[in-house]
Amino acid sequence: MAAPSRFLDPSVVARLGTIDIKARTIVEGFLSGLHRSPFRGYSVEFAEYRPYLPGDDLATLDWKVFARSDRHVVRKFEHDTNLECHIVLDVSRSMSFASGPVSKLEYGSYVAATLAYLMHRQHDAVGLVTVDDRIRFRLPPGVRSGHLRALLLALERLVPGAETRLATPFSDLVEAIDRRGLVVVISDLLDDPETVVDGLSHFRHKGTDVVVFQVLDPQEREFPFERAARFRDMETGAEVALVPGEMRERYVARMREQTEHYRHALGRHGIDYCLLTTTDPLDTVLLRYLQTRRRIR
Amino acid sequence: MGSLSFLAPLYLLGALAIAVPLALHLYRRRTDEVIEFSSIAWLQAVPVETQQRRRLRDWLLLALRVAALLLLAAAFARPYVAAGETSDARPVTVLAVDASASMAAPGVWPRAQQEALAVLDAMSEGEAVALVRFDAKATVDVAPTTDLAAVRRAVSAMQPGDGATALHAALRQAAELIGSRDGRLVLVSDLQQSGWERPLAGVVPESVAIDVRAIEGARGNLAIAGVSASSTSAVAGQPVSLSVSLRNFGVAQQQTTVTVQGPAGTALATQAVTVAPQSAVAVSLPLPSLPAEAMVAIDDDEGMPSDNRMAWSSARRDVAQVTVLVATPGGTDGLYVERALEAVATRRPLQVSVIDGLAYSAAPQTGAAQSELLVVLGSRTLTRQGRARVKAHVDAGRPLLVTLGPQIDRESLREWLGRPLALHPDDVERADLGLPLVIDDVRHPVFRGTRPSDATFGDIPVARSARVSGLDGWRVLARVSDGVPVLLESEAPGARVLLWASDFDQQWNRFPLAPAFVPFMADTVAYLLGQGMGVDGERTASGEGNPWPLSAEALLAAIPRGPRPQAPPPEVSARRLEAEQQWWQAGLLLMLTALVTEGWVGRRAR
Repeated sequence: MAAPSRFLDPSVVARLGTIDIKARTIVEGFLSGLHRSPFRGYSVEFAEYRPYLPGDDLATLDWKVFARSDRHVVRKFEHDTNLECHIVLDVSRSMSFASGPVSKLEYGSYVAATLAYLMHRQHDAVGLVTVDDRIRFRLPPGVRSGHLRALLLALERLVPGAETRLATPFSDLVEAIDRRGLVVVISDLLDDPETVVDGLSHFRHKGTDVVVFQVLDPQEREFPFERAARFRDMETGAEVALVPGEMRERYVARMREQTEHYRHALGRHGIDYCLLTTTDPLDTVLLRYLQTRRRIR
Repeated sequence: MGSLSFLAPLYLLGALAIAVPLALHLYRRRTDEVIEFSSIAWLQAVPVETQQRRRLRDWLLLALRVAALLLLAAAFARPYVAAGETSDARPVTVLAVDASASMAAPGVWPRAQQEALAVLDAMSEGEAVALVRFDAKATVDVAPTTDLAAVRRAVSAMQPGDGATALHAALRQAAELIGSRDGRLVLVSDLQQSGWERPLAGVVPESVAIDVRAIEGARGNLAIAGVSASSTSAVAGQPVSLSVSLRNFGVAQQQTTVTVQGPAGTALATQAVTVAPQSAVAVSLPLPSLPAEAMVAIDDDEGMPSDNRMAWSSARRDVAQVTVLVATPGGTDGLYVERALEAVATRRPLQVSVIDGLAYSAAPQTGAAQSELLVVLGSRTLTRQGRARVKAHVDAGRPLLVTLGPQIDRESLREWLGRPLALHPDDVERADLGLPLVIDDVRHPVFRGTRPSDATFGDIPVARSARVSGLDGWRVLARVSDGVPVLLESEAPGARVLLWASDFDQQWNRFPLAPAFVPFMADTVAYLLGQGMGVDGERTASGEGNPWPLSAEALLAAIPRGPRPQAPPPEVSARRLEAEQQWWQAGLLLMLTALVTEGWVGRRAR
């Protein structure tokens, strides 16, 4: 059996089968590598029994108690009181950019699936929202295994959407969330930074914790092009002809300025920010999530 | 309006080469790399070159490359603008204005300008006119044009120079401008006699009307004819005198003051002198020491200003080598010529040597065999090598004076003369002392020192002379009164060759004894050696000082007319036009400019 850490490499994950296999492999591999992890013990601790009510999940029915006492009771675990999490995945057209085997959208879907799997394993309610210039798809948070499959299926069927305009979907989502929880945003954030920060700050005003994963391709960060060429915007179709070597330094500097701006601006609002490249191992994501999860427990 | 034509239109096929940059341009456009990028918002924020700008630059580069190829092909095709049929055939009036030194006499030039302007005023708009300025040579100031205002401006701006008059030069230039079309020549001049030298052939077509506008010139003229030091051995710092020759061309006695000025403008000597009409006088001005340079000036308010001053320099000139070739060594052959040249040498830097044919043939290549002027009085003792040397002398462009006296071996004459000459075997012998000379061309330079009015040549009897039976290529300067040519000049290009069909040793004529012999030899040597012979302080174009005019009628009668020249074939006209316009040079220049611009624009793109 291959070392579990191997399956945290996105290029390896990309060659695995369906998204649920990918997610399970990543999470199991990740958890098996956590020795004496401070995160062990979450999610499955028994709390109490309560009488069965119509609509309760039959999986929670304690059949042993029923056999002994002929009463229907359901087990109440501590995780049932855990938080409600929305995974917001940017599916704008720019997310389909790929310089290697994994596009930003694919990488984002791995992140989303991995987090969803981990959340589900920890009995957190997890939902999925895909956005571009508006909310394209929304799966409300849930904890059942069938819900996870639905979420993973939705991730499997992602198609790139329109332009990145996050202000509107963020605003709509703030209105839709009616209880405190966690919002995980996975996006390249190639939008107006002030608009993005302003939209995310509304979640914080409502008491919702936010973790932002900015996913970029290595070429977007390093701009390693050499030959003069025409660059066509994937979202607008606009073109610009240029000599990369003459402007690489300025481009990289501006990109660094933007990420630093996100880091500081989001930090001021208490929003966790993590910059990811599509070649980064996926345990980074999980570690970052677990750090946030422990803070908001 | 002219049309654009090409001398070598096949080279225009080279323009097909523009297909190469066109194909490259289109090919590059198809293969231009396009990279899908997530967002170009920041790329546009630091734009190097927008697509629109690059497209514009690409088209500019293509245009420059295509233009360079087209210009190269056009330059090789030798473009020219052919004048329209009507403009080329349109009659033209050539206005030839005399701008020689004599026109600078008081009041003369304003009259000439007024007359020239009057000619233009009489013309109607649309008539073609050309302006020619002439003195010793003719210059086209305004090419044939219908812009009369431009010609008026050119006439108003024209000023007389200090050159001699050469009416034949104006005639030739006018005839060349008129060409084969109809035309009119208007000659505005003071018609100095000295300015008329009969052209060798009829240069003015019969179809050209000649309108002579005679301008009244100076009534008299007092001129400095020459300046020389009294002693050739004088050196700086020793007393010396300058001899100034004055000549009065007028009909009245003239008084003037001769002034010698030093280099700083200080007067070194002054002397008043009276000069009789139509005569010359020599004035000797004592100087305390020999100046290196001096300016001699006289007062002459009525004559030409250009001959009122003459510069003099004590610097020695190069000495011209003159070899007199005789047949008999140690005899008296060549004695008169030698004495005459020695007399000339007192005022001119000449070195005269008399040598016989054998010695000349055996002489080394330097010295006598390399003389600047060869006077052949006898050739009987010339060996084959000697004859070859004479021939080489002529072929090298050096002048030759040949007599056809008894000491000339006529059999070998053709071998070394270098000019075709047909001689009748029998000479013309005349009774008693013979018949006098008659000058055909009184204005020829060899007769300048001896005017026909002096009647000196009429006193020279010629008893015997050779009979030149073929005159093709020869111009007769003088004859015996029975019509037999006796002095001829070769019209062939190259060396000047004069032929005296008698002798200079007093055997067949009395010319060596005549007073005109020494002036004739002086003028002949000066003419054969050219004006650059370097005679100290002597005016070589002395004829310009003589204001006496020809009448317009006499000039019109004397101008030789010829047939109307045929229009040159189209290809000849085309070559001439192309050579004059030389547009191919502009094409190449533009092509280089296009290539440099293309390189500059292309370099900015990389």
